[in-house]
Amino acid sequence: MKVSLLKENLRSKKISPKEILEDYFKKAKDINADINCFIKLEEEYTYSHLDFDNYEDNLSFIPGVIKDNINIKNTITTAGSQILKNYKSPYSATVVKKLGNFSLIGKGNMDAFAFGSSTENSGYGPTLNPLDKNKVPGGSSGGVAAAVMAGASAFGIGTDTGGSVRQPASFCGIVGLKPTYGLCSRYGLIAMGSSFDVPGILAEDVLDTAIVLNSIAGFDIKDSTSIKVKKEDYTKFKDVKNKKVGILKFPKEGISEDVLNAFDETIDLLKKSNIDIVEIDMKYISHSLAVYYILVPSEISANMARFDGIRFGYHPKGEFKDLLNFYKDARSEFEDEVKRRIMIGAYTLSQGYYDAYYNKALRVRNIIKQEFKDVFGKIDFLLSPTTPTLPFNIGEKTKDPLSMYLSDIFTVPVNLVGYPSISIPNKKIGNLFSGLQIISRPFEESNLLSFSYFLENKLWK
Amino acid sequence: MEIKTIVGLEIHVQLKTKTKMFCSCEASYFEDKANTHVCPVCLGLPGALPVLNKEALIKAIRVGKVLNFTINNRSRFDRKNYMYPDLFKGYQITQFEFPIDTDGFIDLDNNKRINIFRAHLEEDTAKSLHHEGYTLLDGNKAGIPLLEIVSAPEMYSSKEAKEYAKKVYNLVRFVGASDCDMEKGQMRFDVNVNLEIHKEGKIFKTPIVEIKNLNSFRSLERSIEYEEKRQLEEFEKTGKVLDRGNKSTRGWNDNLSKTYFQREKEESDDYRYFPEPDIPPLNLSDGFISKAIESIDVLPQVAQKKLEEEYLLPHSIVILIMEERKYYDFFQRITTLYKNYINLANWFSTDILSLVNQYNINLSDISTDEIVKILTAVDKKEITVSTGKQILKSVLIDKDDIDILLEKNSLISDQGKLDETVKEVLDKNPDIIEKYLSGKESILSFLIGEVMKILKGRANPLEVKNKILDGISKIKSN
Ligand SMILES: [Zn+2]
Repeated sequence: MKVSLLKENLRSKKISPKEILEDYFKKAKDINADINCFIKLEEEYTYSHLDFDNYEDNLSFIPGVIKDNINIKNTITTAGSQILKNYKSPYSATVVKKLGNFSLIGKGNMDAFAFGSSTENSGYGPTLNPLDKNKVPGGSSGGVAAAVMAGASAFGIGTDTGGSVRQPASFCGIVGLKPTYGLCSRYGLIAMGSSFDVPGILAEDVLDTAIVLNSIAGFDIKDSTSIKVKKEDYTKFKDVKNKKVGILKFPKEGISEDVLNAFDETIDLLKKSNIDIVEIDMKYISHSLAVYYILVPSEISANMARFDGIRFGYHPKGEFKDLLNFYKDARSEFEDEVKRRIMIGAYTLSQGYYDAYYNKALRVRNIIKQEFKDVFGKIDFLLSPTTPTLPFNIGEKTKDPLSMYLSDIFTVPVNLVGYPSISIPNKKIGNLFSGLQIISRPFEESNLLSFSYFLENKLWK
Repeated sequence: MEIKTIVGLEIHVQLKTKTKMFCSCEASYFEDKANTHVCPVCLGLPGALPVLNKEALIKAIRVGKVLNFTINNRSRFDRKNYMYPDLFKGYQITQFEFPIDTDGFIDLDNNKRINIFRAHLEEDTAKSLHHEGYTLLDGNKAGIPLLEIVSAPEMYSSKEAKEYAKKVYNLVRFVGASDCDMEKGQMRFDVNVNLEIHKEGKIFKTPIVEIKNLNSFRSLERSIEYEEKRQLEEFEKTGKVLDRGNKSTRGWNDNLSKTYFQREKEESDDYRYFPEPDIPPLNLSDGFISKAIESIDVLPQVAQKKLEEEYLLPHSIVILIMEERKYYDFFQRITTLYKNYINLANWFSTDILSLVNQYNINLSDISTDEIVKILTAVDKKEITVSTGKQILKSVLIDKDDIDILLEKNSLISDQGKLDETVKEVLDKNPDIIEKYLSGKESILSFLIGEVMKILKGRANPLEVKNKILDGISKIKSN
């Protein structure tokens, strides 16, 4: 059920908090048995932690699924990795605190440490796409997206470093919002690429997304990269008819026919609605993936160093002849993709390679930032497909990391520049959906959601 | 053969702040139970983020000012990557490329200028407690703010190195940036030392040795002296000279007074530095920097000038007073009511300080009024200097009442009584006078002592002496 509807039913006492819990935990158990979308269901925790008298919070009693790389005090927080399978976090992420008195249904399955685009890299088994169980749900927030689509939870919080909220939202046919870098606190998100990561929202529709954003947006003194901005009510959608929309020009190879057709139909729809449209050719955006796969692993190589087997998580047992051998044991537990990215990052930062890789990538990142700035001087929104293809088959790309990386080709540039962007369902194709990505200027989530709401209505009503 | 020692110093100072560098844990942890000053941030738990402590920034600016640094508006934090159990995040947040303070200097007493490359902010590591077969970690120290002050290799003897270190120590303490208590690890030295040997028209440089973690001026001085000898011997034996990759790290064994080999440095360690993404680059306004500088209530340069030019104190006493901010504050406090500065300085540097040190007295607890009363009474010759010293002790240690003491001990002003007593003593001791007259002049002090005894010390010994001499000359001429 939608967040907006649940809120209404709670207010009118059509439904009680207890009924919500019973209903959702029952569904969640069945669904989880079917598609493995939760690393852990949190029934016991939620019954004991929920304040049954507090109806005041924006999301009081609304069922939510939290990606398991977001710390929740006194729960096991695994980041999808076996290395943290017994790690009970002593604190909660700011976004979790800001959700207030919501009903935690469970911890969303994910690629270990969010390294992946299919949830197949999870240390707890892959999640299946509820729309077609032969397909992946996308990733890395695949468990969250699948849980929301399947109705095991009304909304979900994921993290998005290169598309990890938008791509699974697209694959599961729901809405996924990556807010501006700095709008929502990163405190308590297990870091992947610190200058890219943001918490994001997965929900059934744009209104639900706006409702959740009202809770989690805002400055946090614990995150030095968070920004002070004026408080807004994101559910107050504005008129967007006078806005200028850019359509990203992109090479068609590697993009599936279904996706292209859906995208073209949407452009036609906009034209018919008298929206001002302009084609946008971006010269440097094609370098985004290369830049991303240098800078993110570099940051990862440092962020993963704290997993040393000493203070928390997997702890090697036995005698070790020296520290190196202890570390070798402790860190052999990492999943393959985690090891791969640590190695790449350590390499790109090494003496003699730093300038050729890290520094050059940083410079290109700045060029791309400038390009975005120039483009968004002319337009208000930039549209593209969210993903180049519909959901692929489970196992199809696991042996080929490069083709897996390509599934983030439309979403990655946005993280490089920190802009906000959203994926909304574009077209139903068989059981599956293709997604539409909309990007706006930084901290213009209000406009972005308004335009998305407008398009959602055009496309689906 | 001519041998020149070349020394560069890295000084780590734990800045004195209420909270740690990047979290709100209390920074003062000395002797507290292990792992009681910790939180997700300083424990490096997954997901925790650093938030820069402004107070550390302000203290770094204060040090920047007194060590004549350029204080940079723009600086940045970087991650220094290496794995060791006491480094919880697996990287240290430090300032690598753009430190807050650059290009400073200190002038030694002989006016030789020692350039200081930089001072940068970073975080301290946890403490390892090694036991047989296992090691325990205490996170209380993890994340304490550090300022690392890196000198140019411009000190040419252990003496110069010690003087430089001592000056840094004094200045940093004077502006309240750190207590620099070396026993508590609040100030540590890493020394880089090698020799330049001029021999047969050629110059040979011995491999650079870094001696790590020295925690006293004495060990600083002695370890350099030890290395001077050891490196020369090694050079004479092996002829080994400085080369890429033959830098080595040595430790200092205080009991044996020896350095010992720890490890050879390969090329140079690769710490894979990159900009810290969790802390935006600093862009300090001029206003912020000048406010931080103004937060130093007395600049040491200004204080020293005052002692030298306004109070005209001798150099040795100026140096002494500048050693401790509390000395200066005490001195300043008394001078508001007492203007014989040199006299005050003499009392302070000898009697007052020795009592303070011996009995562990807090200088700020000493009453201005009492000190001024004692000094004024001495100046007015109401009491003798030695009585003054006794009264000082009674007042400071036994908390006796100053007015009663002064009253009881003031010199007798009745000249008749004094003359009478002198006469009484001379009459009683004709044999002593005889001895004096026959040339044994030192016996005069016996007569003075007798008079003082009868008068219970309440007379000026010089005056007594003069009266005795008068009396004797009268006897002689009779
Ligand atoms: Zn802390």
